Amino acid sequence: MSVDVLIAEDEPSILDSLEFIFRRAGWSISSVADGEAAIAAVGETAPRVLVLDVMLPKRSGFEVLKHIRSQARTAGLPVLMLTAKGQQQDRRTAEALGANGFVTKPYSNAEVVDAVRKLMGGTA
Amino acid sequence: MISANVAIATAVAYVIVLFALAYFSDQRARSGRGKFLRSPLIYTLAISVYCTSWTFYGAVGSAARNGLEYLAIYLGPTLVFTGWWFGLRKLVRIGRSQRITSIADLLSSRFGKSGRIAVLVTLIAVTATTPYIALQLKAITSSLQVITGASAVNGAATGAFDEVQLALVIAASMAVFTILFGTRNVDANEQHHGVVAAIAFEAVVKFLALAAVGIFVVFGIGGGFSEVYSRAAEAGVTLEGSEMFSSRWVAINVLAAAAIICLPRQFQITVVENSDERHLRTASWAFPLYLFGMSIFTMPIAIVGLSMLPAGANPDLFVLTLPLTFDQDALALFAFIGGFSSATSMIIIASIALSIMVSNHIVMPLALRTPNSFGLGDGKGVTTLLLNSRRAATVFILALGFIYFWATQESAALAAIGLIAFAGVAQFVPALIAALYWREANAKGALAGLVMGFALWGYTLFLPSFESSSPWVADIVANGAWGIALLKPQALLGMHGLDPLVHSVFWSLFANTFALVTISLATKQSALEQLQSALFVDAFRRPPGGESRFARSSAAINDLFFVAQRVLGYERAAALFDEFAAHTGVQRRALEPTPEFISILEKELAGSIGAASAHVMLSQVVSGDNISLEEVMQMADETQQAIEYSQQLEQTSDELRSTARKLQRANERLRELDQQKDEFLSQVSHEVRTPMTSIRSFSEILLDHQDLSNKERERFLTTIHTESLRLTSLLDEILDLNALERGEQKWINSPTSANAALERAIDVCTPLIRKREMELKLGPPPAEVHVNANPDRLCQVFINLISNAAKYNDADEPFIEVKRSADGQQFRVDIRDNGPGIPASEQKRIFEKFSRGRRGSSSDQTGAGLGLAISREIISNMDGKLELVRRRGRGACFRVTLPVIAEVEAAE
Amino acid sequence: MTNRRKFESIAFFIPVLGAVVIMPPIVLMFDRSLHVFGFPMIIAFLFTVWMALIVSAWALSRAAPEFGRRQRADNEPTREADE
Repeated sequence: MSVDVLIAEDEPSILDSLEFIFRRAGWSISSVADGEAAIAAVGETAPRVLVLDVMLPKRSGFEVLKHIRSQARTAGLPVLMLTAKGQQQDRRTAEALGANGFVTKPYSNAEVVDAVRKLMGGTA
Repeated sequence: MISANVAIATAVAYVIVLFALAYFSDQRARSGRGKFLRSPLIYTLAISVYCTSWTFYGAVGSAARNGLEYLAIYLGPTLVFTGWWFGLRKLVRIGRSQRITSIADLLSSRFGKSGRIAVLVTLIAVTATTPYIALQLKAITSSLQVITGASAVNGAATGAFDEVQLALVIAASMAVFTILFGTRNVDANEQHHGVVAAIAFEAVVKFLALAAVGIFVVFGIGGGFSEVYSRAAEAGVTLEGSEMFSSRWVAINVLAAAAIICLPRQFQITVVENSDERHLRTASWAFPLYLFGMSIFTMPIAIVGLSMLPAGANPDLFVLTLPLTFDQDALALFAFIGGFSSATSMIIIASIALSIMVSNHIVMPLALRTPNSFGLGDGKGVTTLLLNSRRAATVFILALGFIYFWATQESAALAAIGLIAFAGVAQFVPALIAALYWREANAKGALAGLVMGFALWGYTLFLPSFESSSPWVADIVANGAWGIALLKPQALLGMHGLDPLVHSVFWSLFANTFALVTISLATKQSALEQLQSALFVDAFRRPPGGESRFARSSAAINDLFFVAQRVLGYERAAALFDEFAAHTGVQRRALEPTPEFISILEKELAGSIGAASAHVMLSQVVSGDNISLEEVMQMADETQQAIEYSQQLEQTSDELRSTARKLQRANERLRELDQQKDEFLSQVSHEVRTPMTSIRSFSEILLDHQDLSNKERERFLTTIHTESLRLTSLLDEILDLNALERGEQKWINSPTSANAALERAIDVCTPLIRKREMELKLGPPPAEVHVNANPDRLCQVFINLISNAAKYNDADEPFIEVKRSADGQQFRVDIRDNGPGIPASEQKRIFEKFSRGRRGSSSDQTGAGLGLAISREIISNMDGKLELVRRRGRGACFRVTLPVIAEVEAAE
Repeated sequence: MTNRRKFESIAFFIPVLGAVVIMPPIVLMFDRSLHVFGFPMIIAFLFTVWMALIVSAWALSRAAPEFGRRQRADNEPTREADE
């Protein structure tokens, strides 16, 4: 069972909003609330795009990204990272680890949807 | 009784042994095989030239008359040798590095190479020592009389031989010995290995002799130490309660301590003849041990003599008369040789020391002042002059000693001469101490001190010793000079009631020191004195040999060589120049008269003719270029400044280092704080952005999508509302914590019922607990106690803890347990849950800002992670403690501890 | 350096202590009509102090830092020839 977007986000209210706007964009979604679940779900759901929060419990977003890039099967998965810290350092780390997009919270809904759409286009 | 011939023959044989020993030792030393001669043992034994016949015979007499007083003579030197690291070591170092030839040379050299001081010190030394030599002659003649039966035990002369003739023969043979072995050469710094070997041998002989007599007396006839001592009172010797330990005891200790350094013979052996500074290590304990051994039998011999010999027997000769009385002729002869050896060793070394002083400081300066007085032809003029003047001085001094002996033979004047000599040479002590330790002491001060001390010693001690032999002196002692009572030698300025020795020692040393200090402070040092004082006082600090006293010189090397060969002789001068030439890597002819070389040369010359004479001599040659004293002064000052500057630098760099360390620590701390601030800002950013994200996102949804159902619309609005509340409380908490951390306590602590605050918090939290269907296990209420707190703030803390326990608890049957207890000391609350607990890795950081130790699945967690940090600050503001208690099992347990205040205060 | 300072302090203290002990008033405490092993107390006392000083001097001489050697070798080039 494949989904369009896998969301890894631990803040329930943010997750709620993301789910809403992605559904409205016409995508199927699945969501997890921590890093370990994210790694497991990537394998199970084979999403077209992963939307990944940096500050996740258990394993951070960076760790998840690193793991995904190290696995041959998921190395090419487009990943959009979300961060609430807004520091240049995080963006550089994300790029170095191979994130395909980077959005700083708080974002506009259009910005996130556009970013995801762009990444889907890349793999479609 | 022993026949005079046997006794004299033995003495002669003994002297021949001495000659042979000295001769062969000299030979060995010259051929470089005399390593043994330069051993610390020989050095130590030679120092025991301190023990003269005055010790050998006189100590027993002193013990018989004055009880334990004789011990002071040996305890003083023991203290000096125990403190060798500070006194003797410096003295020896200076003596070696400055090529010092005598104590007169040392003081003269230190005080600007002053000729006057050298002469004065020489004069004092000769005055104090000559009677001492006479005393040795007297001891030898008296002992010979006793042993040959020429005198009855009570000491009346019967003229079996001519006492005066005998003394003359002895003096003459000692002169021959001294001239042969003491003035063979003008050695580099007056070391006489042959003589030293002979003296060391004599030290062994006198020790063995005295020990033999002692053992015979104590164990042979006395019945052991305790038996002997039990007879003390009966013999008339008071050992205890005799008021012996008075000012006189102190004075004798001080004098003996001074004498062990200042007596010319002691200075000669300890400083001048020292071939290796490290020998002091051994001598420091071995010499006191020797003295100890020489003193054990003294008192027992005195007691046995007093109790067994007929009344009126001379205690000064008990060492001889006891063996004679018990028909131990051989032992008596041995004792006689022991006494003889102790006397001769003193005579030999004293005359060597004095002859060096007289020739270097009196004859040489006179010769230098008279132009053409030393031959210029064969280049050996000065050497010859020096040796001859030294020989003449030896004869002169021994003649003086003999004349003194001859003049006073019928009087008791000699008996007290030991301590009188000690007091005389003790006048060197103030100048000597100043020389080694007081930079500002100068020649004028030293000279004034020596003159004052010498004059007062002469008037108050030396002069009265002739009281019994001269009516004129007796009159002065009784009535004062010119009949002025204030000038009585033994009650000067009306100071009466003192022992004459103490009186004299006090006045002479007091005036001596006073003059030295005041005049030194009132006058200035010359340039040369400054230089020399630095060399002496800083003997250990400056690298020895690096100084140069002649700033610059164009003196031809030939002129210097000419001077050198006149003093040292052609061979030694040539060797010296060649060696220095080799040292600098050039031919002798091409040698540059560098300041370094001139200063080495001067030292070498000083080793032969004394510092003052050497300086005058070289000055004559080098002064062609005007050795400007200003330049010397400048150099001295520069050296001194350099030393001080480098010390300051060292100190400054120490300070800098410590400042740098402090700065580094402060910097590290700042960096840490900066990093904490960054982290804090980053955390705040995160905590603000998270609710902002929801708010923005849902606001956009509400704006963009008109087709939302009412239910959805309501849900989104509720989320926006909740998140904005979360934002508000976050900002409140940040401000709150900031105020707390800065110590801005916004509340006033007052006696508060801790339990009431807790109950209130439980009431507030009850709805939440119920909502989550949790059980509240509340322990029994404790005794009612008061803590110093603000009730609202305390309640806030409890609410925070209880709601945390409720919010994060995901157990199947969740509960919260609140246990409280109180005693006279503290109030304690444990708040425990059975939730997920706090992972060990988080426990340390749980109280830090934004450290949300655990995240429940609940959406109730609205706190920003500042709650525990705030709670901890609040509790610590109430002098209490908030901590996480380690415990087994599921869940976490937080503990609040608050100090209980006394009821009286609480009631107020 | 610290060791040297400590040594010097002890080397200074011992003779000073010795001097104080053999001077009045301390010596007077032992000036009594008592006997120790057959020796009058005052004699026993003075000789004991004396021996203690000798032993201390021996200990100090063992503990003393190195001195004197370098000076001879390095700075007195003319001296070695004489000896």
